[in-house]
Amino acid sequence: MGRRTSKRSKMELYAQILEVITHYPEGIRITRLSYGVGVPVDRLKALVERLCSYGLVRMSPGEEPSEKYYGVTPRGLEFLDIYFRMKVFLDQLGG
Amino acid sequence: MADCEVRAGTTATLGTVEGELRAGRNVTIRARSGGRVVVTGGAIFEGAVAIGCGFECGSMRVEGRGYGPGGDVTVRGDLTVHERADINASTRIDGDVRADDLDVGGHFRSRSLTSRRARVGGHMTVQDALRAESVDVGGHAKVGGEVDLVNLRVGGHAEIGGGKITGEIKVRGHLRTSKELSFGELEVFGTLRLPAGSGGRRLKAIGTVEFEGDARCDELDVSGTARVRGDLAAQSIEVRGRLSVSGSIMVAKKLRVYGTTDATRAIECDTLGVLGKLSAQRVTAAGHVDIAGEVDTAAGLKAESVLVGRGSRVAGPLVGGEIEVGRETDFGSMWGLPWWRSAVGGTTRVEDLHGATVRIGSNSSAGRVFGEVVELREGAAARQVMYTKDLKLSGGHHLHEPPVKAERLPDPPL
Repeated sequence: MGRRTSKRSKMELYAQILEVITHYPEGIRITRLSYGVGVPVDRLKALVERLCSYGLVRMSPGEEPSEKYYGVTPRGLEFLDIYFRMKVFLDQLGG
Repeated sequence: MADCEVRAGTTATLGTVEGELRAGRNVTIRARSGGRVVVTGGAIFEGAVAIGCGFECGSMRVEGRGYGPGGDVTVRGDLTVHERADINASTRIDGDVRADDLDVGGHFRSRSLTSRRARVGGHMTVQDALRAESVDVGGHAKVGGEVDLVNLRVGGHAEIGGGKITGEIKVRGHLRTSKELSFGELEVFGTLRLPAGSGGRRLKAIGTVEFEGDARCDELDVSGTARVRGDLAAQSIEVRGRLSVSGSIMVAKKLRVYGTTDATRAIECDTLGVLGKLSAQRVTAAGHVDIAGEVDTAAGLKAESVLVGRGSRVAGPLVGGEIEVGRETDFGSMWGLPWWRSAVGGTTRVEDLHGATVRIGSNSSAGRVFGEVVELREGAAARQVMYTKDLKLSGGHHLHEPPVKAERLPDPPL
């Protein structure tokens, strides 16, 4: 639970982004998401846009034109569930 | 217009602020006296703030501009927020935190936390006790003391110092608890380690569960691996993965084994269904037993009625009122398991049978058969048959010894 010792894979990052977003059912802004995931905003934007393009994350505008809120789609929830189930299997098989 | 304003990058020494406090980013706040600053209204910070004392306010908002090193909120004392604390930054509190609704975007660290609701986007570390209705953590959660919660949801791993969580617990990673945990409904994807005496209403183990002593759980659903170093007591158990118990298993209602279950000592239940593999010293079921897999007992299996499906294997004696061996049964439809396929064409093998009525179907072989009424259908084989009332034999059966009609059957082993 201390400092991360190994670099997260891209897949782990995607899963963590989705996981943090699921904790905000009302939608989450990129700044807050960056604190939760621990990735700078500029780098995070590219990752989130990729998740949006795959239909795992949806973006909705806020009250101000510059505001964007992100939420997880049903497909994103399905991805997360499968990802964590597979991770358990792979961890167990890998010893 | 705020009642008190602190410009960005400056240090302010405050006592009690009547009304609202508004501060720019990177400000330092110190107490005029008493080691604490009190704001009767809301406290709004544009970014990083270092509070060198305790802090109390009506509500708190940190807008979090300026992500990066030094972008944190630090409080060198207790933090009390009477309403909502919305902190868009990582937060380190040296003392105890009390809030009605705590929402932290980054990591959170404090000595203790009491809040009706707490949400942390990153990791949460609480050195002492944690009391809340709901705790929602995107990263890892570590609580050194006991917890008293209704619901807990953790995206990463969780380590807690025991306590009680009466509602739902959902942990994506591993969950470890150093002291006894009483839980409501627990779902863990990673490894779950629970000390002796822990128990709850429902446990769904997708990864690995380890009970370090006797365990109790109303409903246990094992999709991964569960190990109990002691006895296990439950209302119902469903095993899709592997359940290994180094004591006895006592189930008040149903035990269903689609994967593998083994108990060093006895298994007691009401009804039992085995589609996978089950082994124990002995098995006792008050009601019906369906076997469509493998059962291995040293002392035997006793039930009111036993159905051994075609292609199954039973090692150890079977004792029951009604015993049927080798019947082709669609357990998949019966149990609502579309993936299940029977071992069509396989020979059903059982050892000694003791029943009031014993039926042995085709492609089935038994050891010694003791029954009031015994029936051997075409293709059935038995080493020895002893009966007291009736023997029904179809053509094509095979008996190693001629059947014996007796006045009294030998006592069953269970």
